[in-house]
Amino acid sequence: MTDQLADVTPNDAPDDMPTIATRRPLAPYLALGLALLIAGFVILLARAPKGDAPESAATPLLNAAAPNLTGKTMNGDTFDLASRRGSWVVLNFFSSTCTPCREEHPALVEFYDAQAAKPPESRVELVTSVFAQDEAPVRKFFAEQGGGWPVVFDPNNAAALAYSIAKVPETWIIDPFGVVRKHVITTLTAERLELLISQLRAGVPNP
Amino acid sequence: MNSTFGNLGVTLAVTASLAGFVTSAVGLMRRRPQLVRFGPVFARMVLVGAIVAAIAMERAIITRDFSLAYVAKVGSTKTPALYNFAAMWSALQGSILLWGLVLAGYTVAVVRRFRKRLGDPLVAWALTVMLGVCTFFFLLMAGPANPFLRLAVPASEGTGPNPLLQNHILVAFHPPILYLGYVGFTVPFAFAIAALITGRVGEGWLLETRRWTLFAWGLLTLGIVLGAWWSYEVVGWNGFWGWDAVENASFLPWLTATAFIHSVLVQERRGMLRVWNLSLLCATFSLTILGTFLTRSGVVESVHAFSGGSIGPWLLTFFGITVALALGLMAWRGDRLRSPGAFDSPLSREGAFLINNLLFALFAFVVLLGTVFPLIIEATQNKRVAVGRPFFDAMTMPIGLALLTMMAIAPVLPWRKASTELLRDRLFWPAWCGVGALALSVVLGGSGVAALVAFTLGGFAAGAAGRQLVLATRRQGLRGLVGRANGGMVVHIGVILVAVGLAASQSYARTSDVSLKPGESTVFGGHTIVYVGKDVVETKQSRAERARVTIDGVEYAPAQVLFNSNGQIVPRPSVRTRPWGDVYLSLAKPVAADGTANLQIVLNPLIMWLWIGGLVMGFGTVLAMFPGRKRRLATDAASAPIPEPRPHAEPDPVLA
Repeated sequence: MTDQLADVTPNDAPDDMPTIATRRPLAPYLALGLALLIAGFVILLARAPKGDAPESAATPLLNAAAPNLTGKTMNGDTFDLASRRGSWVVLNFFSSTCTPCREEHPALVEFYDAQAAKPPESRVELVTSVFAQDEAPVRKFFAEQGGGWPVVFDPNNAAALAYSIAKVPETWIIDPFGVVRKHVITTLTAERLELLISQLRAGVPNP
Repeated sequence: MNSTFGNLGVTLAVTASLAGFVTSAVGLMRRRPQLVRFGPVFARMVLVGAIVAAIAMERAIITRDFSLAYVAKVGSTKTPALYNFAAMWSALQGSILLWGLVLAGYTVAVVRRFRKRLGDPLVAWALTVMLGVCTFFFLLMAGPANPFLRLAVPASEGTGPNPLLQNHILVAFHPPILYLGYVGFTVPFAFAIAALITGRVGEGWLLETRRWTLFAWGLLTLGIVLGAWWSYEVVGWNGFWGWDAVENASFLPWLTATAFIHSVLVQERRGMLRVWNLSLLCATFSLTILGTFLTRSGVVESVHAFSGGSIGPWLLTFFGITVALALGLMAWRGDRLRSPGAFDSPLSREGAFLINNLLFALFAFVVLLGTVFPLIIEATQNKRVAVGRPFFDAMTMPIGLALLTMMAIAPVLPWRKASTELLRDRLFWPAWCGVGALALSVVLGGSGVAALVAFTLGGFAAGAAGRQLVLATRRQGLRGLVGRANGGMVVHIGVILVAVGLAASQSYARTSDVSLKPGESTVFGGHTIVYVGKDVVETKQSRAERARVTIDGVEYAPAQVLFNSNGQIVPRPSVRTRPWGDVYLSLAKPVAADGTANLQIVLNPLIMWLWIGGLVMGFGTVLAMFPGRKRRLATDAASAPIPEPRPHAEPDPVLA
């Protein structure tokens, strides 16, 4: 190999290649930029909440009187949670912009439809409280996806504040005495909801 | 006793890998060859420790030693022998043990392969890096993911592996094959780091590791395809890929490794893209660690993440160290790495490889973004979102089609620069293959732009791959099928089969949900489907309620299987497989009290070719690993710039 370029390229080129020495150093800056980007990413990952956090969140409201929820429903009726004493209530905080809420919706529809088949004394009431959202998209969502239970527009998010809602969907199970018995912060299935309520009814302690 | 032996094995492996790492590193830095010589000895001790630990674990599982917490979790007296054996890797701690075993095996394989060059600093540094990685994984086993923890009170019975992991023979093969691929990328990564440290950044180390990379890549490919197949055959959701975090975790390194095995050819031939290739290797390895973190720490939701354990911070720290090391070294050596050559024309083999690489990098970015997007949103806006298939499908389909296009054109391109006449000549037959594929699919009733484009490009690319194979076999006979260029074309044909199967099954699948009483029948897609009646098959571990259904007179039995160990009900599909399409039956709900069965019938055209394509890819990889036709030296005059007349150039001193 006689020509100079071919000479320097094979294995293990020496440091001082004339064609390269004249270029401005670039690698340190590129590496630094990438390093900052990835460091940000690692921090993001390190701070990410762990998925195996308990789905049932501790709340000071557990076994305390459920804060009231009053407001206009989607149908224009007036809703008052206090008037629902005497039956079990599943209170679901919802926003149509939240993907898990949308994913959970069919389960709620299934749960609601299943109540109609039960004898009246064992039916569970389902209530949706709209979380920090305008009426129009919610109406559209329910028109498309179905759901005949009361959907309450919570004025000034008063109920959401009283329940300290952080991230929807959150589901609260309230017993016939108006006492909070369960707070669930993951998406639910109809079976799981039925199971939770039957456990609560039977007095089975669950974590 | 199992616990004692297991802990002994883990302790030996930790000690040996740490000692080997430290002595080799110190020996190399202080230039003490007598210290470096200990590296291989320690590597063998690590393997011995790992084997002892793995045997102890298998012995505990086989003898149902429920005094071990791990065995009480994954073992059960009711699990059949094969699934019981495979139970070792059915949860977190055992899968880390499998990882350690495979890694130790690779380390010793490197020692054996390079036994005559162990004093060479490049090899010695690579071994040091591998021992460092071993140290990390065996520390995990000694600490936060110890598989040999004892229960204070031995359990009398275990719960057994997840029911889904006791359903199909593939469970025994899919994880080890996947791990052989996944962990195998440690070897090229170690050589990349060694090349950076020693400053020997020429092409020598690449040639050494090309086959290791191919080996790992082929197994990872096979592992991914087997996983998809398992998912399709076993889980009654009529799907094989859900863009779930665990799936993405295996797919991300596959993407960067695929980019690497293409772009490394550019470096070998032209000496270019060195930094890029090193980055791809480092990225591939880092992504295996990141993927393990994502799926084992519970930060992203996944259907098959192993929960529990506190190894999240460990893995994240190790990921950080890996990236910092790689970037630091590249910042230090990067400018020396810059290539002496330059691209002559985008219309050249190397130009095509560059575009291919940008597409693969974009692909990997999209998949990574989709996987971690929920975390970003949760951190910045305190909202929960889920990124599902629509995002991935919409984003990756155009990239996939672009890659198919490249696959059609690139194999016929020459290095350096192609002329339009040459292209017209070489693309003539492949293009007609594409037209033929389009005509055939339209005649057979194909519709939909995306699918037809995919079929056309598939035909085109198959033509280009076929052209190369025909030319090579004409010149060299059967030897024209081996070597990286020709074996690579066989892999391409596998990819095309996968692409066609994917396009057809995604575009033309038809679903019907029917409720049938015993004796009733329905006709769907030309198939007569009769529900005969239900029966129940009980085994020690499960109770399967099966719907006996005939498809065109042949009996199939989709079932709902109740597992006694944890009460989980799993639908088990029943599939009639034919080359032109599957009939996929699943029982959506248990058979109702009045005998009504709710059946889901799905017609999946050409889906079998996904699995066949995967096998062809694996087979092509084997062919590509055989040495092909003797090539010229890694970088020869091919790297010299093309002399071209420059109008304003200085007068040539020799000629002047």
